[in-house]
Amino acid sequence: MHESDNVSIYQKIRRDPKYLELVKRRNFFQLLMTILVLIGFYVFIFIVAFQPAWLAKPVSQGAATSMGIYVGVGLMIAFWILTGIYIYRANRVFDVLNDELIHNYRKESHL
Amino acid sequence: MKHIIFFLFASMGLCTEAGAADLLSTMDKISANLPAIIMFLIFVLITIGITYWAANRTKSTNAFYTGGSSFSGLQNGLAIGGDYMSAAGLLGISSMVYAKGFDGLVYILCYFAAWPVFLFMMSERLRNLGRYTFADITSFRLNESKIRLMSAICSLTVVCFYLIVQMVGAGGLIELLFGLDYWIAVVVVGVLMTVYVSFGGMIATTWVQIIKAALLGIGGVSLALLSLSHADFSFEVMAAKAVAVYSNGIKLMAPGNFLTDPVTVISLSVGLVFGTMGLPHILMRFFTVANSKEARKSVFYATIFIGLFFLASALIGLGAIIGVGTDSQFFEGGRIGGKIIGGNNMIALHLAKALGGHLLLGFLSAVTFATIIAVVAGLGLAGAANISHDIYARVIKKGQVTSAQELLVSRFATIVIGVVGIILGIMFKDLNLTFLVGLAFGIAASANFPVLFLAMFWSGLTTRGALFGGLTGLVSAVLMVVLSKSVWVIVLGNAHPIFPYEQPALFSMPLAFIAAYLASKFDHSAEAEIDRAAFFDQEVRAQTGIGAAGASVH
Repeated sequence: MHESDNVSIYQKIRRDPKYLELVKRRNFFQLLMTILVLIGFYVFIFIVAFQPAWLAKPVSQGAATSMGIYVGVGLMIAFWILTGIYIYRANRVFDVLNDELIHNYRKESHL
Repeated sequence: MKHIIFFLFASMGLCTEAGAADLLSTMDKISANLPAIIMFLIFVLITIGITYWAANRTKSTNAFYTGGSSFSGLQNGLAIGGDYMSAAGLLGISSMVYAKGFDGLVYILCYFAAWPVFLFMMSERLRNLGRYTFADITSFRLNESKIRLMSAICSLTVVCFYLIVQMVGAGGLIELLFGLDYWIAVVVVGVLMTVYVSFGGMIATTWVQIIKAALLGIGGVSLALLSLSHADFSFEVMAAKAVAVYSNGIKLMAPGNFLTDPVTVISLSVGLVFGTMGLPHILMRFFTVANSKEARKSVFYATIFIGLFFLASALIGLGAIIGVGTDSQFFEGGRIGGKIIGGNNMIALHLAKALGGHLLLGFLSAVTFATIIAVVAGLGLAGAANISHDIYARVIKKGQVTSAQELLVSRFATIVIGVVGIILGIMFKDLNLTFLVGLAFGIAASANFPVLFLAMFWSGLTTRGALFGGLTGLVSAVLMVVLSKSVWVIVLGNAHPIFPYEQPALFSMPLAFIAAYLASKFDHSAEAEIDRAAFFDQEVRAQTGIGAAGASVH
């Protein structure tokens, strides 16, 4: 496999509508997931920074456990679920599209 | 405020708390140390055996830097977890929860939130574009000599600071746990690291990391479950018991015992989240798997391990409020509420003794020692790759070098790093180095991350922009830390800090992005045109993996 072979293939792929569609969908999905995590995280951080009393409330009358514990651990669980969703979709959707795309160019790139 | 860096420091694997002598005189030295020493020796024997086996497979630069890219996602995920969870992930987080309660959970979220973002935005692209080091990616389409040199220097700076802190922390901690002299502990860590890395390269380093991560996970989770079992496996029961004996009562469950200044909280979160994505030894792990799919899996598994491990550490901290905080044997002079023997970082180990006796204490001590060595090995390998691959093979020799020559240089570089680590570790024994972890994360977030991010995502980035951005991040992070309280006042002895915050990232990272953006925008050179045009082919490789360095079978 030579670098120059790759370059000519890259230029063909760049114009391939299937590639453009894949990139658009995948980039959107990655951005969406990232924004969800960062919003969740920074809402939490800003509450810690500016409204800590909200997190200090007990979850029920007389309970020792505070809302903050639920929010913090809940966020972690939510992030775990998001990573799971990402892996699931990447395996089921994007890898399939990507493999199809590469398959079309396989001969030329000697992969 | 000065404690903020201390906890950051502590949580990365270091404790240079005074009081070693007190501990040694108080603890029943022989009976406490014997199981620990035996278990540690077993660890050393096994890992030396693995290194011997790995050495036979480390005959090329590719094997040395990546282990032939033949690790599975699960193996690499464990190893990433191992790299990230240094000794005091366990000790630092548990002591933070023990002393400050809820704010420990805020730290955990800062450490944890980096990983999903890492997975979504970076993991696949990193694997598709890089080969041995993250400088492969920053210099992919830019002027290679300039950008690679800059990235290698920033990377070495992070590695070096992190390494010194680990060494000094290791010396102090091992002195406490095993009764070894400080300098012997530092030499043992340095020599073991050099042996693992120079003979066994990435294969040995990764297996050491996997074994250690598994041991640390087992130790942490069993101690957490043990403390939960004393509260009928109910978090509420445990929390109520802890609140009842905590010095500040119900405030244990509320933020603000420690993180009181909003700017510090936000800057800390920026530094930890984005700094994680600029740590050289973590970034290097992405090249040890066969393809982007495995890279993605690695981060998925790493996210699970890291989250579970930190939650276990928090439970240990909570359990220690009940199990250690009310037991006079763990306080100096037996005064409950006074100074903890060996310092607050010892509470996880004290709890192990309280709940599991000398055997569990010995196990956890041995795991702590193993953890330090494994993290140091990961750092040593990353630093060696910067020297031999980035600086020697690519910048000085322009790629005109055989695999055998480069391998020789990388082994030599490992020995140099080991020796330098030992010397600096001994030299800085009594210095207050708390600022170095903040600095390492600050530089990673401000110099490494912005350049890496823009190189992958912004077609407009030029060589000049990357240079300005990286250097702005490096210089501003260093300056802000030097002018902050932890250096300007505590180390240099001035009366007042010039920079009012302990954490630079909130300011230095945006500065780096702005500098990179402006310098690229106003770059009208011919080189800039080439840099920008090259983005689109790079993007095809990043997206599809066509042309990415493959796995070698060995």
